[in-house]
Amino acid sequence: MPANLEIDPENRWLWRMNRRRLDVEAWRDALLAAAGNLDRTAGGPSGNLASADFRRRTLYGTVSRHNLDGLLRLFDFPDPNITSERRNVTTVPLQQLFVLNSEFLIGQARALSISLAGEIDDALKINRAYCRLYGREPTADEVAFGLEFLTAPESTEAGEASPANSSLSRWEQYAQVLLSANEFTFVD
Amino acid sequence: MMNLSPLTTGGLLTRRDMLSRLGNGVGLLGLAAVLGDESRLGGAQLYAAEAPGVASAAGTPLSPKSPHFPPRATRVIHLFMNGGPSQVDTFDPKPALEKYAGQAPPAELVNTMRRTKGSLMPSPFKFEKRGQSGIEVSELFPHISRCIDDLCVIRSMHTNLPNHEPSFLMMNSGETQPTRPSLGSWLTYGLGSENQNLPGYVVLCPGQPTVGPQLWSNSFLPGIYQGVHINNAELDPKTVIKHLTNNHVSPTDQRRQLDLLRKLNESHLARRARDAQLEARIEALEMAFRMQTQAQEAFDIGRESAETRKLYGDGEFANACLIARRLAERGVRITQVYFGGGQPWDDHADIANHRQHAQKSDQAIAGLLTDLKSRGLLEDTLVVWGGEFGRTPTAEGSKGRDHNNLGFSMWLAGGGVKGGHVHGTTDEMGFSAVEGKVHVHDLHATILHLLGIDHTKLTYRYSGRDFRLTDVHGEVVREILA
Repeated sequence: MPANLEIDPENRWLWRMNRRRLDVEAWRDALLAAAGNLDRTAGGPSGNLASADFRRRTLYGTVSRHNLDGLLRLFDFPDPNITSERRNVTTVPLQQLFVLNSEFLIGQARALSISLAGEIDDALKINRAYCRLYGREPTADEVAFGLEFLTAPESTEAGEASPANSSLSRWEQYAQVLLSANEFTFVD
Repeated sequence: MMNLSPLTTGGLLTRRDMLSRLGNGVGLLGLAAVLGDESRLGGAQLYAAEAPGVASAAGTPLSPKSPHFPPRATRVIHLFMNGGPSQVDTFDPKPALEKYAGQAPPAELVNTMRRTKGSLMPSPFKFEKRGQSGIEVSELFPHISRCIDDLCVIRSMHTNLPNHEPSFLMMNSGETQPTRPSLGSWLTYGLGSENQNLPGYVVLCPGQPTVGPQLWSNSFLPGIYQGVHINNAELDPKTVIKHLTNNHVSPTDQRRQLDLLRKLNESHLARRARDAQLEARIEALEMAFRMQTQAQEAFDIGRESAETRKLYGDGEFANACLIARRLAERGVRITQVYFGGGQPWDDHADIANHRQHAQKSDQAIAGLLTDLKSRGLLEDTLVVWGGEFGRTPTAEGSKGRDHNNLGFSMWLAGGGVKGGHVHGTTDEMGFSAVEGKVHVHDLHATILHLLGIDHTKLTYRYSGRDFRLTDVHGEVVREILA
């Protein structure tokens, strides 16, 4: 592969599949699956994507023509009033606000962290997380980054009310980072 | 001929890609046209079909882009008087209505397509010549009247249908059916926005206007160009944009998360060839972090001085106008402010109710104009006032007025329009536009023109043909350009 990368880095001759971003359905399903939260019940009536209880595949979310669900619209789901020959792929800060702050993503981070709790050793936990989320083992550097994050001392910014105000544990915050990474969102 | 096949890059090009491909001799000017023709780039079209000037970096569809020619205005504030203000009671005085009060109108004039066939009813409000220009304005707007020398009043507007829904859609998207992108979406698609930490297109309404989200829809344009609707009846700067605030992690901890995220993403990128999409997302994550503080600040009118608050007056609409000014000075491309939820100006029962709507909006609008002017913003901000249609000069019931699409009034102020100017006339009774007729398409063409855009050239290929805001219609109204 490095040889091909040198000859044709832009893949003009299609020696490999082009990288693509997971569409909103696959991405949301992957988040739920990684967290161990995905309800795989098939068939039946659609449900409300905005509801915290709705954990079925995104395919089963109700699509409103009048007022498209916010998550769908945010991640380039096409206008249901018209045809769409190809989805847009936009990358915008509003999407990343969802990634950083939404109850949905934070909920999956919590669940992911709980599901890894079986391991006591942090390095082994990181290994399991990488295998589950990215299908590979972490490099030594990545383990080091992870451990550094997990053990960093609490600090206070000048002006913050009190230290360690977060209701997410350090592991939950780390799980959120792993779920937010490009490697989870893009498929090579 | 350059090979810019989207297959090679997933449809996006980095600035480095473009510069390396262009080499010598082929300027960037032609690039956008080439990309615009590449309909297969439709999935990630980041440039207006013909947008001369430096193309934006890949992955930032809201980056500011140059218009077709030098603009007179760089932002728009659209004050939408939903429900349809009556022209003969606001900006189009009709003395003939006094003369013929109580009589049936001449048959040839009446073609409103509405069932009501009442008798001619004069305005209960007095008109007076105002300002140096001497333009007549009704007593409903004492404050706005003082700004008349900055206003360009159009008395000859007309639209297709006398019903709210299609007329709302027409005024917003140039089509009576809900299938087209809105004016705001076209503007942000064509020009981007000046501030990447705020949405480019904001819609303020207490609740929702009739029709609702379709009015600010992006339709087939990429989702980022949708208007961000803010219910200003319950305005909390922390929650004004969805997911703006994190309720679980302190800012320090979040910053630490982002630092790790950046490290992981950069190492991921380093193991692969340059990739515009990956780079774009790394940047977008950082922008989102900044947006959290900056967006909250923008919507916080508590930061305004007492003097400014007094200028606008009290109330929801006044606060919304103040927010519109804050957004304008922070580079938001277009802000729409709806007067109220539903269609409040729709006075079928009693036209005297117009007085209440005017009282809630007159001072605030004059305050907005004054404030913009004193900050040097009015000269390149286009302010638009009006509803989706007008009302009948004949009575509905004993004292109301029905819808009228054949002739109604709007006004423009600021960037590039003639102040103290009247354009067009309606017939003697005020039913139909007769001279200098301005269809909504023409208004759209003119608005785009003022922002430096040729309305025939800002297109998007969808479903096999090029679409534009004005579709196959619209002429710029040159007579009102300063």
